[in-house]
Amino acid sequence: MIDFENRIIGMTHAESSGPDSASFIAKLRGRQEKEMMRKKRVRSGFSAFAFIFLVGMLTTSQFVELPKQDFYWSEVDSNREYFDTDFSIFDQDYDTLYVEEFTLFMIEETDIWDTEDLFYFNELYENTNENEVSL
Amino acid sequence: MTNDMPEDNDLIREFQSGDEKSFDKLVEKHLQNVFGFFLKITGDKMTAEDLAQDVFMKLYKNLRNFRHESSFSTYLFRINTNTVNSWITRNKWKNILHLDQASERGELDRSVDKEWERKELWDGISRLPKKQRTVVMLRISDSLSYKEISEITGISEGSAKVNYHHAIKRLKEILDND
Repeated sequence: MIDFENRIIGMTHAESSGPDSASFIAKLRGRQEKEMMRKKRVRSGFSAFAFIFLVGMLTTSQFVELPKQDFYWSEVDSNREYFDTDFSIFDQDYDTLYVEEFTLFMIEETDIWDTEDLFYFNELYENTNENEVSL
Repeated sequence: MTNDMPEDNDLIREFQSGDEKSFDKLVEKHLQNVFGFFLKITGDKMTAEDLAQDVFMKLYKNLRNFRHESSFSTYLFRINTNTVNSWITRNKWKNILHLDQASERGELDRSVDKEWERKELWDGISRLPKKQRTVVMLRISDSLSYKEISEITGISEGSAKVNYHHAIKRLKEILDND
């Protein structure tokens, strides 16, 4: 048994000078850098995937069935609504009220000249209408 | 285990506190031993260097978590044996192919004979169970004592002896049959 042990120890005997430590360390550093780059790439790839996945999830979660009244008119089967509209239900003073409110808003928020322009055009419009009526 | 000087621990502590140069010093200090270990097993300088690179890469990744509970040389031997075990598993088929090529070259050249014998031996070792293989490798390539082997492998001294005995018996059978 001992002879056999000596035989196999002899078989594994190898004499050779080891690699140069400086070049070995340089190679090791190169491998470490490569490894770091690979890790970075994997990490950024994963975060990109996670971002896309998140955006996708948020987008799909917004897909809800639209209520009927939000459909376009063109999608409505019947065109009955066009002709059955009762215009008398609209408030006739609405426009005036709207212009007054809008004027106040303009005075508060914008340039005075813009407001003056608004008055001018409004009066011009009204006068034109009156003239038209008087004619 | 004789080279386990306190310097190793100092270098590791310095590395753990962020000094990269200490790692280079550690590599310089242990390179010849690690390379020699792999050269005896592989018989090829290039492969031995590649495996040594693998060992130091693993060491670089894990050294920051080293807790100084076992000696550094034991830790390094553990990495060596794990690396060589995976190399043997990876190259089982390759070794068989190499053996076939060697038989075609004839037996006139003595160096070829020696190489043939070596390959036969490592082919035999690769066929052993992992525990036996590890014990044999440590014993024949680094002439470690059973106590040191038990520290590295985590088995008892008695178990290391038994495993070694079985491994040698099995190897004798394999090599005599071949």
